[in-house]
Amino acid sequence: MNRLRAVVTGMGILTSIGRDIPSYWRNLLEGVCGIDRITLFDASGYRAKKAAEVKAFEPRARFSPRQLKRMSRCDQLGMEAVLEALTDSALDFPNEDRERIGVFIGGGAGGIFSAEKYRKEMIRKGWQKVRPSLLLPFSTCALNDAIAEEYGILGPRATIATACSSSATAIGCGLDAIRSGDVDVAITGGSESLSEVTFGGFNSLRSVDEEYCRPFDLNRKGLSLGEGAAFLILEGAEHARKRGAKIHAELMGYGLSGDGQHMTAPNPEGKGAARAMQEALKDARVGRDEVGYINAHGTATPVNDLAETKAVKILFEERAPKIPVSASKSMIGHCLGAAGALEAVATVLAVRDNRIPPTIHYETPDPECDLDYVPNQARDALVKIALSNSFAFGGNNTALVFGKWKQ
Amino acid sequence: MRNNPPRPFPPRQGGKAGEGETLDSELPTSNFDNIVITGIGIISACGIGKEAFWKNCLEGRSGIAPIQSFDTSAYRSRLGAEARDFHPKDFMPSLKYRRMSRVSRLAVAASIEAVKDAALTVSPQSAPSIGVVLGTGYGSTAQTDDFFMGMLKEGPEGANPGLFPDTVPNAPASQVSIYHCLQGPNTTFSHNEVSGEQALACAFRLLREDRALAILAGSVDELSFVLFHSFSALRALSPRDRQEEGMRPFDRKRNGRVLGEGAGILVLEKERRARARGARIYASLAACAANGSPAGISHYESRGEQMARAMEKTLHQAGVSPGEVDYLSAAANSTRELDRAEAKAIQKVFGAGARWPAVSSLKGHTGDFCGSGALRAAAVLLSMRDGKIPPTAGLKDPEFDLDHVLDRPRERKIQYALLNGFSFGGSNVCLLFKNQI
Repeated sequence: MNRLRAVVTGMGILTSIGRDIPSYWRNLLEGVCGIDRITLFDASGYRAKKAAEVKAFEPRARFSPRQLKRMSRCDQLGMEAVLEALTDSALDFPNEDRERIGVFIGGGAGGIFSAEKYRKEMIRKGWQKVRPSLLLPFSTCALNDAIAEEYGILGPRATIATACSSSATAIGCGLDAIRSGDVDVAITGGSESLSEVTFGGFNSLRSVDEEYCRPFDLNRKGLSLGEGAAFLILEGAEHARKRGAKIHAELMGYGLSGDGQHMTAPNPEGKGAARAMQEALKDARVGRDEVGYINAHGTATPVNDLAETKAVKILFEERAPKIPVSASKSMIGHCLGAAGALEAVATVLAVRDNRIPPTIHYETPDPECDLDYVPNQARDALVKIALSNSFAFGGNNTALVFGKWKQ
Repeated sequence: MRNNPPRPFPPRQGGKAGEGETLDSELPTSNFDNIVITGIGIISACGIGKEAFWKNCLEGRSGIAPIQSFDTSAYRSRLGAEARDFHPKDFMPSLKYRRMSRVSRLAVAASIEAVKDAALTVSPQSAPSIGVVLGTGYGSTAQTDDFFMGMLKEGPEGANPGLFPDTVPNAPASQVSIYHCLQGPNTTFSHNEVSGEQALACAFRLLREDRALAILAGSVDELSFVLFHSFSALRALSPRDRQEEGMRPFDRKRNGRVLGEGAGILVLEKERRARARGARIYASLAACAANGSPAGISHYESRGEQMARAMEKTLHQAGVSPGEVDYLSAAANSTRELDRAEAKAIQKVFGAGARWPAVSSLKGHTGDFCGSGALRAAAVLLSMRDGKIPPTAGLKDPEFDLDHVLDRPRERKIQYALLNGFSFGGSNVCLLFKNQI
């Protein structure tokens, strides 16, 4: 029996190492590190003083004063990335049925950065004197509603808020909407800006590396935070064919699972993560032998990387060491709500171009993490099917399967 | 069984992926199984536990009262619907809840009630196929603020690692899964006032697609000083002005919302599985549809046209005509904007028919909060069970020509009930429930 298929026809991105898809992809393959000293707020009191910031982002050049007043930095980054994605898709908006376009977005801390400003001024000046519009973008869905408003979209919307796996799940929701016939086009992705609450939070948990994160390395000490935004335009394959759209890859399936175990630590055996990947492959109707690349969650915390390695071994058994597994977070940091979409873009590009981005800062192999992490050097390899993993606080796991498009 | 979707999902093939706990082996091959609700758990300002809640709903006894948990004297509003009688120790040992934020405690307590009500048992075999999908507008704002204030007072050293994990909006759903050891799909929606409706719609889809056998789905929010302050600063609360402060959905004298809090969690599963295990079935979730309205970031659609389309799409999906709907649980939240738009939308959808649904908004009872969707859904289910529709608390002088339920409950056998979810910013989600008896 046939079911509707979904393809990726547009992508847009804004990260510490690239302000559009071509520069992101080039720097990802060259192993450029975006983790650097924080300039957005004073981080001098922290042990760690680095994160992967989007530098020299000038929202004033892009948004009206009214928009600037009502948007958080997270929303601004997102609007920039979604514009590139829609431009790349070459969707002819006047001729599209706006009710058949949906918006599915994963959020992280969202407007917290604006709310922090509000809270500080509230203490300094008294609350009657603070500009309440700083509170407008506080809802996680602010970016979703802003995109719908800007482009006159009338289809279904949903905003997923599962921290580090949000935008991967949002991409899965977009796939569901296309498969069920609810929409022709799904705008999916996520955005995240750095904030003091998240930076202070991860620091307080002692899960941040003071220098830069080293996924899967023996001496890994923790993650590096980052910020950015990424969007993927999903489209029903038939709809894309009819309008002659360029197709980057097919989104073949997704899988969800829960650890149900601990608020901050993953299941140490990687069982929940393995089930998410397994469910995703089942949903995609592809065998595990066809997987040619895994874009890892790879946060570089000691527990995550070990659990993820075990998960890959549970699922792929003796073939596990032969599958290239790399962590984009080594370059762009952990962008929380945007991470799933940023890494989905890397996965799509790997499938499209048969190029595998490396895990950088990899120096000392860990005897317990003994997979092929594509250390420091990008690689050419045929990638027909690839997995992208995203795991979150509380054990909210999501895996996506992308494949080369063939009729 | 007439509520097959017009666009059915094809049956799934057996997975080619690795061996393991696959769902297919335990499931019937048909995908046209109804999704039914077999358990309800409620913690709210108008009752702890579903029967207390329901009794107050029918008697029109609102949970709204002067706020006690923080000082409101500097504000133009002072009312709120606080779940004051909620004591987590009535539900679980302190060892379990002492690290949880209030919003997580509310969610976990409601989930305990729901699991008990559904007589759902969790075994190591079934755990991977039972999921949790919740909606929350803002998660644990109080704890997030505590955490940030610690940093503002003492710098980085003041960041309390004990507070941080529960600041993420997916904490309540994660805590529910941890409490019950559930390992199925776990996700959280956060989209203003349709957070809960989106969660229920997602659970519906996950079950339809056999991604889980049962799902604890619902929504939760807490009433914190931070939220109260923010809504007040944005002038989004009912103030003390020419009118009395209060929640008056659809009333001529309405002047804004009163915030509330609470948790509602439902157990959703396929009818076949529910019948096989002899579970009591409240009703089926027959359809859900969503769309968007043109609206600014903090506003509602003014004309109600897309809201009407969302209701029509939902009815169409289930093959139900407007005249078959007996009860409509409105989203109306006592704001000038939403109530007028929703009334127009209801008139547009049902206007041509001879038979109108009885309309009531539960928000007069519970206060308005983003995660109210599942509480409102629970009231719909209990209405169906008892053939009684609760009145709209606070509504005295209706502005719109609708079949309002005023003052006392309306006795009516309910075959179909529609639940409207409309959020500021313009996201619409409607759910249709069908009586299975």
